[in-house]
Amino acid sequence: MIHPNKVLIHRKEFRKIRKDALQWSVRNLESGGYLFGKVHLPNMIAEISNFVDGGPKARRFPASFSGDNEYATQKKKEMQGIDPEIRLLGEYHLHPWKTFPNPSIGDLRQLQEVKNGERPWYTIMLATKQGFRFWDLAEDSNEFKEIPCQILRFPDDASVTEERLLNRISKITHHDILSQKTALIIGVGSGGSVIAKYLGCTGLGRVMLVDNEKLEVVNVIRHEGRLSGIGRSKTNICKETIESHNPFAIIETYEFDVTKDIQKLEKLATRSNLIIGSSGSPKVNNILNKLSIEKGIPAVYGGIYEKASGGYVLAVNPGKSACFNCLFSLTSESYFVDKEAVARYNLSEDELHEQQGLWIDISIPALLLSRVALRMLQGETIEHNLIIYDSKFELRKLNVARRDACSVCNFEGWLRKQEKIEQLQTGKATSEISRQSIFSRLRKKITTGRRSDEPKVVRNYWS
Amino acid sequence: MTPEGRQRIRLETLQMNRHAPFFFLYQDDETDKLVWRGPLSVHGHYHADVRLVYNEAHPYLKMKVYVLQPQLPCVNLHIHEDGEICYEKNEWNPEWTAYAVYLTTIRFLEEFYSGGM
Repeated sequence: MIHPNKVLIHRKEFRKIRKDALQWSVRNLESGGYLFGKVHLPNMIAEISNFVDGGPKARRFPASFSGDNEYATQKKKEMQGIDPEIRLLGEYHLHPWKTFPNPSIGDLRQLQEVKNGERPWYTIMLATKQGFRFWDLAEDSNEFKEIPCQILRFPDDASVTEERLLNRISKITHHDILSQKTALIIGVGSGGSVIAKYLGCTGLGRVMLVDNEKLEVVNVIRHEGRLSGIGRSKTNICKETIESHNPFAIIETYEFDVTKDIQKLEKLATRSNLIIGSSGSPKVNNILNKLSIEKGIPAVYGGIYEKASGGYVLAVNPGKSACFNCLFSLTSESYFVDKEAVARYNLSEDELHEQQGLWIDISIPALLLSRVALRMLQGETIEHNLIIYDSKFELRKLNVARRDACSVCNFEGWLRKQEKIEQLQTGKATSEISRQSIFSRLRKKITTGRRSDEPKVVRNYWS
Repeated sequence: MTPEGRQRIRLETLQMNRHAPFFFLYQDDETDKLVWRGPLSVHGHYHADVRLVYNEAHPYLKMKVYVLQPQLPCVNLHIHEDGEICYEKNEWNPEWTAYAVYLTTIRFLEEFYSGGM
């Protein structure tokens, strides 16, 4: 069974469906039609390029519809005469009610039958007076799963295919590799939105965007979002921007604070091939660094210095090159305002947003990061893992080795160093002190809490 | 707890027991968080209850520090109403241990009582 990840529908065909829906819903009759097009592999994107209505012999009733199959077959042959790859991708079904377009149990059984038979890619487009949705069977085949849909808006006389869209980059990128890769981008602000846009236009298969902020007036002057997007989530704005350039990329959006829901972030990280830390926050990057090292997922971090006078790009190959923590003192000086802390200090909105810096200056390190990320996704070797840029047009490429006593990527080394310090201070090796003697010093709790010989930690994030 | 986490807490406990023997470690029933708790005396000012609270994502997120009994007056933005102090001068670093936070707290109190804050 094939489960499409996304449905693309040409605007011209969508208009035809809408016309059919309006025509029959006012008469309170069910209607339907046939959706033809292509399935793009390996991303499993269904592109609907032709719509065929129910046909002259279609029968429409208030609670049922049966299409003219002979008419549809005839139309299909005509279409395949022009393009042999065209096939029946699914059906459109109209329920003339004012409800959310949820499919019925009858629809479920019908879809199970079709998908288990000749058409494993089959989907249902269900329309009601409230709108439309695309549905597919979930992995267990016993319930429906909504599929994201995008209406392809381009002039009717233009011919848009994936091949033509990627024509100017196909010889310089490895589309076969990129189309199967997933990038996780944390933070889509002024820098992150640039990274998301340009990386999304490389033929990359899937991009996951994470940010918990909405677009504000002060953001607009240096963000992909426009004035009309004020109040909308930054992730959705970036999703639309990427999809308007490359509809064949699958964009997922998540709105949550990564420092407060690390488990959710971990699940996303395990599905990705590259982690991109573009929030500029050392707090967030520390968490990403931990996940990158633990899971062995390559990562790239970017940050901007004060007044966007420069920035850095750090590429991390876990276990092989320096991690974010190895360079912490350098990267922590990057330009970041902790919103929580600022709120506590009762700073005004103006003071909070006093992060001066031109979008031009922010975009240069962001573009450098995008290029490094693309190389990593294509499996190319990165000669220099640290790039430092300043707005005086100076670019420094450095090769930074792992720190022997980094507490994140070389924990044993860090532990040895700490133990050595202890030994120097006390003249006694830590190994001489038994585990029992360490915890024997624990004393009775005064007011709350309980005495424990060995502290219990419920969550697993301690490392 | 991961093996590395176990090693880390052993080291931190060892450091605290050696250098801050009046502090003890316990797990708070309400929050499930691990807390170092003990008294501190700086420039003749005695605080009977100082708490260094581990974050569940330790060492990747910073430890919180509360100075209580008596609580510090909220005379500046570094002291919060619930007794928490903002002790870090730079960003939190994953290499900081409870002992490092303990020393930073002493430095904070010294600055506070010497009028340098």
